[in-house]
Amino acid sequence: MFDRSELVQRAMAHRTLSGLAPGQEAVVQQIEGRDDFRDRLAHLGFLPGTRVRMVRRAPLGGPVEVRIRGYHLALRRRDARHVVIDDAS
Amino acid sequence: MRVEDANVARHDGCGTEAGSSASATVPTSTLCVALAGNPNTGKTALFNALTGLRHKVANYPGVTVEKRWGTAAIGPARCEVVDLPGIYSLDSSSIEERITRDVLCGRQAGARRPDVAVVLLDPFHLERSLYVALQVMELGLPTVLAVNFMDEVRRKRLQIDLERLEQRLPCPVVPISALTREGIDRLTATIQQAMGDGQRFVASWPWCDGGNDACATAQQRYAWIGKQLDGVLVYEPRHSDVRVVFDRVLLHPVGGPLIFLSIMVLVFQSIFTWALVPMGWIAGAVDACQALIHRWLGGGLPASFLADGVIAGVGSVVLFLPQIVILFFFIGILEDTGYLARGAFLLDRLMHKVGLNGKAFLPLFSSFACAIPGIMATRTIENRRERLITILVAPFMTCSARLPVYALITAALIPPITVLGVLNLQGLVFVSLYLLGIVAAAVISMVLKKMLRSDEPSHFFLELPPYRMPQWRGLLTTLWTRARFFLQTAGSIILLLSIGIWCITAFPRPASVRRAFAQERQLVTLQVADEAARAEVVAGIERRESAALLEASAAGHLGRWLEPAIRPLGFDWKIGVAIITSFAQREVFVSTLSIINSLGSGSDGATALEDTLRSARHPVTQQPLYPPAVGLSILVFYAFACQCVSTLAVVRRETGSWRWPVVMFAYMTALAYVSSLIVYQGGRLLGWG
Repeated sequence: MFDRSELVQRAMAHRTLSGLAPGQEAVVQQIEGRDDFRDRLAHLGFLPGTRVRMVRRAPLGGPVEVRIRGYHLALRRRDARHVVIDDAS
Repeated sequence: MRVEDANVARHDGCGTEAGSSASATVPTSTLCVALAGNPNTGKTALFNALTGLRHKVANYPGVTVEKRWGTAAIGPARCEVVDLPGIYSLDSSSIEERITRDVLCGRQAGARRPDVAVVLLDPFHLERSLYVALQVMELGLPTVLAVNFMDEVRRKRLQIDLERLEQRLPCPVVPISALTREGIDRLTATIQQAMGDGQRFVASWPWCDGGNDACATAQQRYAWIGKQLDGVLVYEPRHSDVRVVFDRVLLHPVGGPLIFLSIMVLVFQSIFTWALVPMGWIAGAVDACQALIHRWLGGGLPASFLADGVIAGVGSVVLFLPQIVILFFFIGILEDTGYLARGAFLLDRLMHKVGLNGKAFLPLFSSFACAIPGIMATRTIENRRERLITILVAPFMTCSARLPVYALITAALIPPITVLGVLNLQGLVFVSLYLLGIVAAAVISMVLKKMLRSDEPSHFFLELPPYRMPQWRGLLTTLWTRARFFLQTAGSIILLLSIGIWCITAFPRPASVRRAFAQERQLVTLQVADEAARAEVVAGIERRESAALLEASAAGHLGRWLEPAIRPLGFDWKIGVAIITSFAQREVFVSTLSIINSLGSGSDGATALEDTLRSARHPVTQQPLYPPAVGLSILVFYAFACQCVSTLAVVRRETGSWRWPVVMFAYMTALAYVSSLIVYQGGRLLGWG
């Protein structure tokens, strides 16, 4: 069931916020993870279809700063990995 | 709190859920207005503008969310205004959001259901600030929306069609600027009007029927807000260059951390140099009070109780007020400008590695002045384990109460030699003690992270607000409130303990000792004719008498009883007594030692005490009683031991049980004992003993 090509395909399909380069923009597709985590992000405005832009990445694997709905939010890279994104249309 | 309780009783029956507001029946004299909104929307500035200096700070009962309330004139009535915590939503799990919701619904103990909710909107982040506003409207309270920062809006040429927004929303929208007090009159008039027609705001929201999960509801809310905002933002200039430029420098991968360190060093430098002057005044005032008491009441027991117990005890807390006020001044500036969030952003990675959170930066930073405000500042950390660890390691930061101990012991017992050509050994020891505290905090955090199991995931969501100028008037108001709060909480505990410590050092007073010294005094009066010489001899006798009485007191007995346990650390019974008396506050160590060593405990005694300690010899062997190894041992002991009752009391209050203060005291004392043992025995092997 988990043959290699499918895993690769999945990895390709799952572009996440943490992989975005500074200055790049994308659209939130969905949030993965626990319910309370998803709710928190939803209240902060991370909803399917929302545009999000990577502003900067703190050095040495520190948090990332993103711009969403006109404000700037810092979140950990590990958490940003749960935000699945699409290319900005 | 009395007013609060009365209100709770009257509002008990109402407000289990939305729509039950009964503002028409409430007497006009006790109306209540609640201020809500996102963080960084100038809520505190509006609160100050409405209430002036007439406000109070306390905790909601049983929880650690700070409650600020005051009174304001709304039309003809005096009105209670409650400042709610800054939040991003009303139904998340954070304690602040829960309290806000409960207060607005009238379910929170110690707070009444507000008659009107004022929600502050940030015109630069309308969408997100309307999210909270919408949730407040859903509760069915009469709501007034206040759009803040209108002066900034004009300056930045932002064009918002607020009339259009007001037409679409079911509640009034008032443009204000809390800082310049623009629009405040119109706001109070609107609040007054809103109190009259509560029914107007009972609207039905399609997503409130239940059945939807939180994400779907959020989606619907944002969609609704997007529709209302359509065409409201007439012109939005490109987002500010100030932010881009500042962040490029302050969050630079290399430059950012360097600037951060420089700012920290600068702040500490200023705290210590600026605070010295007012601290000198306070010390002088305490001395003067003590002298006055002795002049009025003589040298008897009541005078000693007032001067050495009450005045000295309370004075030693007040003494640290300047440092704390100056620290809060800097914290206020860093917070107002938006730099605190940047500091947390830079530090999160490092902090997370040792089991903490970027948000622990502020509490630990505050703890360098005093662990009490530091521990209270941990409330912003949502993860319970991270908050607990921060609380448990905060007392390792070198607080200002350790300074007198460090200053005395390094000056007296560490030889002033030069090491490695340039470094003064005393200075080196002093700096090492600061670093020792930080390293200990990091190591203990890592240990606690392993020991305290938790399923609760650790997150770090932090808004990086735009840079703004500090708001001086609001800052002064906050400082004033902070200072009062600090004196009230710390002062009451310290007062009781000072009295207790005074009692064990003053009693019992064996009649035999007093008789012996009385005889000696009489003899001197008869033998020495010259008045000046006689006064000097009598003063010497009195010092020896107080030392002898201390040795015979309960504290003295305790010291002797403790001696076998502390011998391995190089401490004699005198240091034992000083450790016991300084259990409540570290700096008492210095005054106790000076009393025991038969010197007056006045402020000029410090230099003489240094000489006494340095030249103290063992009566039999003639070896120095306090060699450098003992000095280092004392310093390490005070770096680690939890010699502060106020800290323990605050930990009890913040964690809600006695378990954590007991754990904290036990592990810190054990760490202090073992470290001192290693330092002293190691030092002896190296020949420093």
